[in-house]
Amino acid sequence: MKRFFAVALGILTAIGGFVDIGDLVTNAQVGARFGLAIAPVVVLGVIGICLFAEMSGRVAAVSGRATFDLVRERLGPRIGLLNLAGSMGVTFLTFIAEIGGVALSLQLVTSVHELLWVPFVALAVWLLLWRAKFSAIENVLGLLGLSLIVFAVALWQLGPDWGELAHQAVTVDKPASESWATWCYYGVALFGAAMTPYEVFFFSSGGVEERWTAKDLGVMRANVFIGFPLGGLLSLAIAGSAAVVLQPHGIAVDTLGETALPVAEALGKIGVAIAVLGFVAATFGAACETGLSVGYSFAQYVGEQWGKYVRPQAAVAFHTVLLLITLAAAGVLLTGVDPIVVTEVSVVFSAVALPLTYFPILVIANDPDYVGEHVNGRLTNLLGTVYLVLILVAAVAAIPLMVVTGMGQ
Amino acid sequence: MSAALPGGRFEDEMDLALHLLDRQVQDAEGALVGKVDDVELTRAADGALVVSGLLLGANALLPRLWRRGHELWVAAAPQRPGQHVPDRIDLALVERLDSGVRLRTRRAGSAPPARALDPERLRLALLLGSPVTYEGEPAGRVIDVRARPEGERGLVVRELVVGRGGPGSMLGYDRKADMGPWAIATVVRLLHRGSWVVDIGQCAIDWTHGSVAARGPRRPLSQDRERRDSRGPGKRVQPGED
Amino acid sequence: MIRVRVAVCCALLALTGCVPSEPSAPDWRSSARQALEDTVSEVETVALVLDLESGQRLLGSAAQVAAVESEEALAKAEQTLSSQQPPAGTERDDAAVSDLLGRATDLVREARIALTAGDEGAYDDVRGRLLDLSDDLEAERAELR
Repeated sequence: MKRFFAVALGILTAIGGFVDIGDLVTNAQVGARFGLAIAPVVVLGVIGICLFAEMSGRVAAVSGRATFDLVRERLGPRIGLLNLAGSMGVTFLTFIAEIGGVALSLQLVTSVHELLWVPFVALAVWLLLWRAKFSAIENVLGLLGLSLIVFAVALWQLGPDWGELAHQAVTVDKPASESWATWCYYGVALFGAAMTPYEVFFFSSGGVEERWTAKDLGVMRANVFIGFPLGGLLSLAIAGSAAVVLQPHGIAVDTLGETALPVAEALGKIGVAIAVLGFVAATFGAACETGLSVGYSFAQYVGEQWGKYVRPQAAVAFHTVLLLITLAAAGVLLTGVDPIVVTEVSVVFSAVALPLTYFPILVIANDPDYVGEHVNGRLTNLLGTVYLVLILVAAVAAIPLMVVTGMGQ
Repeated sequence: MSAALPGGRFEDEMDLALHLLDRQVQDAEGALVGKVDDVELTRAADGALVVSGLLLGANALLPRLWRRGHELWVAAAPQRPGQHVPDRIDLALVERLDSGVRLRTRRAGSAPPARALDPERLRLALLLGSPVTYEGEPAGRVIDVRARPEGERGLVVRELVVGRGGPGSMLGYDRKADMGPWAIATVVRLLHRGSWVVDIGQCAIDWTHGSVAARGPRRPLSQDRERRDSRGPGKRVQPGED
Repeated sequence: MIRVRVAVCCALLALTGCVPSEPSAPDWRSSARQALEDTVSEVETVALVLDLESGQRLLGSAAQVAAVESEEALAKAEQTLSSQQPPAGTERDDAAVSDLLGRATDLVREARIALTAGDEGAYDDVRGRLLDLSDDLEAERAELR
């Protein structure tokens, strides 16, 4: 019975923790502009993240080593450094966006300006990263993130023409007023939002934090193959509700408030309150994850002790990095930059950094030196290779598309 | 030095760049000490190179990232004794090597600064990546170094692996016959089809300029696959939660 | 979306010493259409917010925040367009577009004031005018094609 609860908790946390500010904003934007025409990209991204998360979770469980730890071993220090710079840069950008997202969500319920919230949010994030237990952070924020199910409920309540929505998704209907370049740009952005690099690195480091062993492989796979797709369904619900409520009015989403309007229409004040709770939990949880990821990446490249599974005194470099990036993120946000714009940029650059992340994972998950007998099967390798090609295409196309479309104008 | 040789992979022939370099070093309790940023080789009386220690720290890693930049930095900075000396872990402190290095002792005090510069103590990084000429013609670079345990002498360098690309760029596909995924394995093997292995006795190594002149019989790399099954990642130790 | 354009335009303005740029006629029309599209989005957002608020379906703070953000976005859209010198032959269009953007700014400000003051009696009226304006904006945008 206890085991059942442990598995259920893992799955629920995976669902609630799947969505972050990138998913929130990008899915709402895309839903409002294209309806569900780009939904297949979300499905593609979710399958991809499941595939690679399972690989990196397996590496962590069997070898006790986190994936980024092994990047330098396999690719050498120079490429490892390039990987480190890319990962840290993109994840730090995402970290800034997440903290901004928390501040924007709190602004929605209190009317207190976002900039006034930034220092408090940054302080709260740092305190949690310094002091709170890893599993406590993950479980509490993950469960609270389940509030975002309100979007699925709202979509149901709105009673849309399901046939029409399904038709849009399957036939990839592009609205006549949009160009193919913009369509591709948002496809790449959605792909980057679904497969953000920090997620796999965090997942494997988290596995080491929680002391997974080969016996936990089944639970880990349940989390990944049940939890992540259900989280992906939440993303689609956000896109769908935006499509049903906002697209007919020609409303483009560029604020967090507009993302919540469909819930207001369907479920009223209670719905909005739950949605905002979901926003806060999802972005706060993601802020902790991205912050930790930056620390993990740095310490795992250099070889220093990292993690919350030891006392802070035993991992000084790691905690120093966490403090510095929190201060830096607060500093950047206090210049008044719009967190939504930071989110949009971070999602595109996530797409660019994807090959650096996923190529090492594919190689390492095949190496018996690390995973013993649990090497990738043929199907996993085939899918992994296909995705590597997809990822390369997305990475190469991302910046040209961003320039050509003026970030999706 | 007659302490028992380390166990694990140290018990067989190994590739220093692939199996030892850049590996995580953990102490006896599982706490993380650092990465193997470089390997110290000592020239024995008969001229053979023996692995004598692990080098850690920025002073060991920076020359590998950008040798010229590091040389300029060393030349430009004020000279203090021991300033550019890396931290060193004597091989006697190493218990075994699996997917990472496990030490016999605890972290504290295991990696003091290396002893003063000694012409008989050399670094693996100076050898890796050095251009190689075979019977006068340029023939690639040193991409790996093979060492074998030889009883009392320790881990002795026996062969050089030469080919295109940087050290370790074979990603381990050369040693394991059927490591997937198929596409990557094929690409790597294609890129390295011209790689070859030569006995170190046939090589004249210029340590000052970092170049190697080889001659005599050599064999293609593709003939070498690991004979034993992989050992797997080894026993795990993690520090307890406080 | 419009913020990136604003950032780029501001940088250019600063560099060129506040001399307005002089685009060609098709480029100007494209910018004008974009400004009108962004304005429609903001106007419709505020109309929706008023509708939800009068149905008691939105948190008061969220409504105010949404209105303020729409107002700011509109101001930027207007400024972006007005910083461009309308080329010869587009004066009539420029006058029409400027008039519409001005009306939008006034109406959204009125909505924001009503929402902040909680003046529920005004919501329906303002919303009605916003929806009419939205139709006018769409009509002008279609003409500019």
